[in-house]
Amino acid sequence: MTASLADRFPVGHTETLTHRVSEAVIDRFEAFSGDNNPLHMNTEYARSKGYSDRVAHGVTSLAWLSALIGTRLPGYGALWRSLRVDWLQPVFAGDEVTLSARVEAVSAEHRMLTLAVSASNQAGITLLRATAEVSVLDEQARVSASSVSTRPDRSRTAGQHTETQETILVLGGSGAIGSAIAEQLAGQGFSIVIGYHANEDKANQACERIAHNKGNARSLRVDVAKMSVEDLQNQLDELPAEFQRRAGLVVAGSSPLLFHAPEQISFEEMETMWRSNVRALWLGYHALRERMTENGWGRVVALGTSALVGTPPARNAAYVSAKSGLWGLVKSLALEAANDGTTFNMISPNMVETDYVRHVPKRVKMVEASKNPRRRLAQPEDVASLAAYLFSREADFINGCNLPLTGGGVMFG
Amino acid sequence: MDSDNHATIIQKARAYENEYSGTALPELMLLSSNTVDSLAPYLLLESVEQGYPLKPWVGPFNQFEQVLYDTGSAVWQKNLHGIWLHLRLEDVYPDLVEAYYREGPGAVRSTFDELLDRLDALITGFRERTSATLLVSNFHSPLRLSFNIFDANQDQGLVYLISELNRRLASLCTRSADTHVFDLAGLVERLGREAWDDPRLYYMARMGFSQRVLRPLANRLVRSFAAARRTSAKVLVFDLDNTLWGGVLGDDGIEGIKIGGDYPGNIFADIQRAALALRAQGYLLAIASKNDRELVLQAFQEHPDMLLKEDDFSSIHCHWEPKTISLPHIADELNLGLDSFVFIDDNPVERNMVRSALPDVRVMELPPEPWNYLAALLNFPGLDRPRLSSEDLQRADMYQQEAKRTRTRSQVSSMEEFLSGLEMKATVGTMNRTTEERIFQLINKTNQFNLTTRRHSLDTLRRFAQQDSAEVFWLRLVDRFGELGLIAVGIVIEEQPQIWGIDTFLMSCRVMNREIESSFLAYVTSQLRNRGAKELRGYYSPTKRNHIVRDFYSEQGFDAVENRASGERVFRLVLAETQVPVWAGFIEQTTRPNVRKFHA
Amino acid sequence: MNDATQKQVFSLMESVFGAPDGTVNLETTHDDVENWDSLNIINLMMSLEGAFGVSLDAEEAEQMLSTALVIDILESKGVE
Repeated sequence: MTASLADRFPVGHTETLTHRVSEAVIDRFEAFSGDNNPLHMNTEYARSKGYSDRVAHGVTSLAWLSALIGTRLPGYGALWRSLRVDWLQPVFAGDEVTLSARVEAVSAEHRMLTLAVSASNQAGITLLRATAEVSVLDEQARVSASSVSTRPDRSRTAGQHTETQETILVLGGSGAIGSAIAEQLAGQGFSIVIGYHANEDKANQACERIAHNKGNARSLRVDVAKMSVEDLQNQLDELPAEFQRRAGLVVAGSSPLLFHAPEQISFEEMETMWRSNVRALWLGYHALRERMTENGWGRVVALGTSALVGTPPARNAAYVSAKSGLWGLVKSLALEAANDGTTFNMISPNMVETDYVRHVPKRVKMVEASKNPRRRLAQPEDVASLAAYLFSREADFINGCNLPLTGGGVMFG
Repeated sequence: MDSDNHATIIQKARAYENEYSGTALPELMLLSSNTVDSLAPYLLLESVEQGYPLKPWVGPFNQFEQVLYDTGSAVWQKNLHGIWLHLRLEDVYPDLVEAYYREGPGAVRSTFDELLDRLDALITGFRERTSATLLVSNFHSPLRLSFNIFDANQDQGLVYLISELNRRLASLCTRSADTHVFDLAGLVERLGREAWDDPRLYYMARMGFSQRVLRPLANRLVRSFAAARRTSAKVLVFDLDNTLWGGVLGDDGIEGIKIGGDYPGNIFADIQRAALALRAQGYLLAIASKNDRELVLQAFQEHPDMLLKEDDFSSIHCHWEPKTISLPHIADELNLGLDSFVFIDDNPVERNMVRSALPDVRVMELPPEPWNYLAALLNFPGLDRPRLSSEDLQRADMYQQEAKRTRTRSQVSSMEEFLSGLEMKATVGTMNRTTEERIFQLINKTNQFNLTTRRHSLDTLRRFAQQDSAEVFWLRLVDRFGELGLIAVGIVIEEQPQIWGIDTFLMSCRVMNREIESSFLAYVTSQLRNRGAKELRGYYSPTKRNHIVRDFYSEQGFDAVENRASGERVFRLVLAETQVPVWAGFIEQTTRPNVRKFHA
Repeated sequence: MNDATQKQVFSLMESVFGAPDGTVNLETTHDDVENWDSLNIINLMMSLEGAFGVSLDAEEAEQMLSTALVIDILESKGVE
């Protein structure tokens, strides 16, 4: 059953979108429109006319309004019918502009929404007011659009970061696999929050690499073993606006391997391992759940291990049991929470060549690589590529999967 | 790299494999209940080094019956000259030790009965299918399944039961032609169970022995196989000084040489004992020594500790001429080829001279230390003999008779006089169970007086004997000097109605020049005439060794009718037009005449 | 492992696998050699033991999947 138009878009329902108007944006508008009015293009000229800086083309804001309508309110299925706009104040290069659209009226008969639109800058000054009429495409088209619960395509330009960007929290993001995933996803236009536990330097280095490639990332200390959901939410909330559209979670960390025989294992050791895996997912999921549900689009990817298939390696009871628990939680969430538009999957590589396995003897790694049908160990980038796919629009129907990433070294099923 | 290294041996074997790739080497099939692949390169290497190159190959693992009964198997396309049947108790009865303690010696005995029945069926089966030599491993007690340290304290202990099994295996093999026990148990004992066993290789790769024993095992296998297939040596020619006794007789005098008593005389006493033991097995002893003959004979006669006596030697050549002259003289005297000679001399210079001048003679390499001479003598491959027939045991005596015959020949004026003086008596007959073994042996080892050199399996021979269109004839000879045994074989096959071909005609070379061949051929001819034959065809297939019979059929009145491209020559004798050939008249009777075929 | 010993290992492997001289090097793996099978691993094991006076266990035999691994195993046994 599909909810009625009024149920889905009640009067008063509001969506917002924040973006930064950089000089690059102005330059690009000039480039494709040919409007090279020096008021827009020349700082001195603009100042000579009494403006503090280059003035953005007024229509620029309407481009983001288009995004707001086309992707959020009403989103896919939107057909923009009319617009009446009053420009109240200029927008300067460097301004952070927040657009807001509110449902004013709903016509079920015409499948039409009337939206009241306003834009304000970082100082709270209202920049424009507008009224837009938007029709929502017929039932069939709407169903096909909304059933593909996918985030909008990001036609983002490198270096631009806006509040339309989905943010992904990568727990264990300072590790080799976590940071590889973070970098890959950042390259695809996601904003990244790198959650680290101890290794702040590595987390920051990953952020720098992402920034160097014109991506958007912040690091955040997250103690997955102890931190409360509220704490994490508060810390996330304190991040800038372009990190607020939280839509994805990666659980990539795990406490160090100890290679203890079963009789040597303390419960504390087990618990540490469990917390670093199972609690990390629990924590991340709870912290992001609300936003993901609101978005109607979310992705959760946890890092498993091929050791869950068949005979596990010896002296890894804590690790294997923690990953088993993690997989159990992924499955349950995939069953019960995917209806909100979020998918839950696990990537299970065999030995990945990282620092995490630095205490595994060299011989064992060489043997592992020699026996693998692909004749090498998995690399962090292999994991990142599969993760990137799971975060794509095309992966919408993949849910509750434990995806082997073994080069054929371990085969499932 | 170490020349004994496993990799080196694999590499050498591979090089030999390439070297012989164009040669149809005799093949030795290894059929085993455990993995023996690693043994193959060692066997190839050993066989080349022992002068009898073989192609070893590993048959299907633990599939004795399958190989035997699968007539379509590729096995049967091979040039099989030998089969090693190697079953190990651990492999075939893993629960043997438990059964012994749970159910007692009786249960183990009946298990062994079962095993012997199985081996009997295998041996009989292979014997019927192939003329290849069969070597059957005997059994060592299980290597790793521990049993009571007081096992030997019990009259029915496991070790005792296994030795009983081995004894029964030996009598099983004796009953079958060209089938021999391979004394694996003896080799395990010799090398030691600890050295033999490598549990790691067994559990990893099912190998029944360690790398350490591969070389000696291959050595023994090749020796056993070669001994069964090759004519063994017949004559041991000894040097005297520092070989049969210590010291130099000419310098030290009879009292001064070292023989008997304590060191070093005890070394040479043992060598003389070994020489006597070899003589008792049928080897002829001879002497080639640079010495004064009279003094030597005096030493043999007078030295109180001398075990060998003048009479033990078939020929004594003591003078100052080179040994390269003595040896051919001894050969003439004994009417034997130099290829049946073993030369034993402590002096490497003498050995090398003989080696280069008389390459047919097998020269025994002696180590520098006298105390190791005995081991060299006992391990010399040319002296292995798989089975001692009564003829072997009498051989030394027979050849001494031959020497007397030779002397007789030089005393008479004509060949006729000589032959009549020998008082030869021959018996002839057709093959049956009592003669088949000897006939099989002659067919597979006679090289010189052998017109076609066709090697037949026992199975084929038995078929010939049973068919109406074929027959296997033999001749046995005795003269006034003694028994010479079954020495000639003729096989005839009716090729077309009333036309008989002589498939095989051969004679032991020790009775050449007595016109026996003519008489035997006449006998065969008359038997066939009785049978209604109108024509006889003879064949001569040249080999390296049989040129002496090239003109045999022509001399016997056959007409040469064809020279085939293969080198084979075909002769014909039309019986209606031919006088009965010379009948020497000494053939007295046929034992057990084949009434059904020839007198019906 | 020094160069001379390395060469000896290469040469042993070439002999055992029947590979032409000079074809085995540090990069060689079981994919590159036709006869790198379980029988020849046993043969290689016996060859290495004989050449270097070491004793290899079953697990190490199974690990001999490349020249690099063979050398690593020998080095762990003190072969220099």
